[in-house]
Amino acid sequence: MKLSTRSRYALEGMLYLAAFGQDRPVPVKEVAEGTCISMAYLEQIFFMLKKSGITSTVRGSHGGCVPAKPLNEITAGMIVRAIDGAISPVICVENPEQCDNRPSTCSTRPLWMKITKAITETLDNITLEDLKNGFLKEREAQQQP
Amino acid sequence: MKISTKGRYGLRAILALARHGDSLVSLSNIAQEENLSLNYLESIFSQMKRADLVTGVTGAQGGYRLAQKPSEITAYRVLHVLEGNMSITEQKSSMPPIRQYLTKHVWTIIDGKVEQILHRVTLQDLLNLAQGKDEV
Repeated sequence: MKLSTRSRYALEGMLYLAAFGQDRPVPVKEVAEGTCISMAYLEQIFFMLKKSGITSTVRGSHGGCVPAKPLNEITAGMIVRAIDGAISPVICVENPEQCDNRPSTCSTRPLWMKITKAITETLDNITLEDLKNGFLKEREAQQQP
Repeated sequence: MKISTKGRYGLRAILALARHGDSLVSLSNIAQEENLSLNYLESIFSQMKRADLVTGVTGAQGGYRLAQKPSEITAYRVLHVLEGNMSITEQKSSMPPIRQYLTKHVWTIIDGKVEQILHRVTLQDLLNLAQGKDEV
């Protein structure tokens, strides 16, 4: 299964930027504290997200990471793809040549393709804007006495 | 949802068995047909036998057959026997708020959709599909 821990953490890091950054560059250290993910791991993740054009880095003493696009243009699917390369529960869906069986006659391939499609559609329909609004709303509700 | 090699190979192996209908099939036969190692198949089949997915007959003419009709065995059951918990995320009671939110609103939703597909699809559906008869 290729929905890796790293891609889940990437979504956590991005949601932190979206919810608490509000256009301010956020130092990786702060994201690490807010998400309980190690700083070294997050640095790797943000490096990959930057390469995919999802975040950019601002240098200097008030530097940090910022989303490189409006939040409604960043989907969970884009973030997972930036980290895992492809959304696919089993490797052979994206790379038939990885199959030790015969992809054209494989009895299970249609099932994996259907599952991949369901996961992809779900992730592509979730934007960072949705997640931010939902998260902040839930947080506010929990803070009411 | 998380599916390991074991689940993938196991599903392929039980489908190979299903293709043979009611006749007893030896594991070496399946190993050959599906290009899987015999050792691996032995461990997979002992697990599936314990879960009553297949029945085994010992002896020179022995082998395995499905314990039920292919239309009565879902992909979910096979994978659940071989994989145990297939959830994407670890379920912990205390998580940072962001992880908790995403688990509830993203990963659990995906787990649910995948489970729904696996519960709906039977071995018979997959056999039909492989023969180009049907859509899942």
